[in-house]
Amino acid sequence: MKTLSRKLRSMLRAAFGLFSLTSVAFVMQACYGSPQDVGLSVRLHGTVVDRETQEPIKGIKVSTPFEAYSYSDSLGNVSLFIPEEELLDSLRISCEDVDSTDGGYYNRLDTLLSYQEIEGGHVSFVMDKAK
Amino acid sequence: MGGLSESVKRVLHSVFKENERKLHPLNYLFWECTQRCNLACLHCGSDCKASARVPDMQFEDFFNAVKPLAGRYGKERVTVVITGGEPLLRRDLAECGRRLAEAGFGWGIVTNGYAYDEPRHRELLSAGMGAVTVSLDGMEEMHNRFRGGRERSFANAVRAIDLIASSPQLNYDVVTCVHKQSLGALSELRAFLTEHRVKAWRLFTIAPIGRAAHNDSLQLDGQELKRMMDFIAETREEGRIDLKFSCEAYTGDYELKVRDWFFFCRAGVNIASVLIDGSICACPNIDRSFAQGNIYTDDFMDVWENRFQEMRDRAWMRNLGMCVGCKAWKRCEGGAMHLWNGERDGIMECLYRRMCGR
Repeated sequence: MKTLSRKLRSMLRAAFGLFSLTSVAFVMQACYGSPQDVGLSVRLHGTVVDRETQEPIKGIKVSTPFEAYSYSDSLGNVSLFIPEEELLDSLRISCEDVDSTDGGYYNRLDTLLSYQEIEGGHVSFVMDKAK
Repeated sequence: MGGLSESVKRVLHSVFKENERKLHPLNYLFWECTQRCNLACLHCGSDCKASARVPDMQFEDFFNAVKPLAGRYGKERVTVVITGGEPLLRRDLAECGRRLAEAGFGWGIVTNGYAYDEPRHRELLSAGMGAVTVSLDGMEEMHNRFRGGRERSFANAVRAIDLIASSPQLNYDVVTCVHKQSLGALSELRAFLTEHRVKAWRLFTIAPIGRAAHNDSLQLDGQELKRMMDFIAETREEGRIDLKFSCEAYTGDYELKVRDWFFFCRAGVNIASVLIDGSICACPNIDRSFAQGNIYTDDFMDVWENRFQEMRDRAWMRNLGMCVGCKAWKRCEGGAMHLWNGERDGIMECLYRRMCGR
C-alpha cells in the first residue's frame, strides 16, 4: 500500500465510490458539524435591466412562487437558489420594484422560465418603467 | 456493500482508511465565523459568550484564503459548515453563504435554532444553503434548563426543525447531547421528533471540553452508555427515524448497529477548519494547540497539503495513556481527535473502555 502512486490511489478511491453504491464511506459528517450539502438546489442568475435604456436596475426583488428571492445589486445582478424538486417544465419568476424611491418605479414583471433556461446560465429580466 | 460479511467490510474499511489518509482530499471545511452566542448552554464545548473577546471574522478574509479549494477535487463538492458560537447572529450570514455557493461550495450551518424563523429560513434557502444541524437536548423543561434557562429555547428550536423538515433541498439532522438526566427521556424525544417528521437524528455524549469540562455529572457511566447504544440500535432496527451515534468514539460490538459505517475520525484527513483568529485546524472542538497554520500568515492549501501529519498518521498515540496495550487499537486508532488534550499525553476519555467496565 505504501508504494502506490497517487494516481493508483485515486483510482482505488473511485472504485470504493463505485462499489459502495450508497457512497456510505464518502458521505461523512464531522462530530459537531452538519451533514454534507449534496447540492439539491439550482442557481438562477441574471441581470435586471431597463427596457429603454438597457441600464441595470438596482433593488428589484426577483422571486419564485415558493418564496425563494433575491434583490438585484447596483449592476442589476441577481442570484438565487431554487430547489431542484420545484423545477418542473417551467417556473414563474416575478420581478417587483420594492425600492420605488430610487431610480423611478418599474411595473411588475412575471415571466415563465423553462428548466433549461434556468440551468443553462444567465437570464435577462427586462422591465418597463411605470408611466 | 450490504451483502458482505462484517469481516470483509472491516478489511475494505481498513484499506479505505489508509487510502484516504494518503490522498487526504479535503471535502468538509468548518468556518468558525463568530464566537458570539445567544444562549449559555451548560454543556457547551466552546464556552461561547454573548459578546466574544475576539471579533467576528471578515468574510473576505475567509473567502480569499479558501477560494482555491472550490473545484479542487473534481466533481466532489466541498461543504463549508458555518459554525460558532451561533452563526445566525451574523447579519451577513446569507450573503456569506451565497458567495460560497456561487463559487461552487456547498454550505450549511450548525445552529441552536433560537433565532431561526421563517424569514431567516427563506433568506438562507434563497442563498443556497443545503445542510443544517439543529440542537435539541430533550423535551421542553430539560432543553430549556440545559440551554441556560432561556424560556423559548425549546419552542424556537422546534420552530426551526419544522421549517427545515419541510424543505426537501436540505440535508439536515437534529442532534441531542445525552447525559444522565436525559437518557431516560430518549423514547419520548424519539416520538416527538417522529411526529415532527424529522428524518435524521444523531446522539452525542458530552465531551469534557469547554464549559462541560467542569461538570462531571454530565458524563454517562459504562452501563448508561450501553443503554444509549441499545436505544440507538433498537431505533435503527425499527426504521422510523435514521438515528446514529456521532463519530466521537469507537464502540466495539456496537459499531455497525449504531451507525452506517465503522468509526473513522477524519479530522485532518478530510476535515479542516478556519477558526475565529484565522488558525487552520481540523474540527473546531480540537485543542487549539493542534492548529497547523493561520490564514493570515500561511497559504491555506499549502498547509492542508503539507502539514496535518500528526492527524494523518496517528501511530504516536498508541503508546500514550489509555491507548497503551489496547486490543482495539487497530479499529479505533486513538479515538476522536477532539478528545486529545494539548499536552498530547493521552486521550481524555474512552467510551469503549468505559463500556468494557474498565
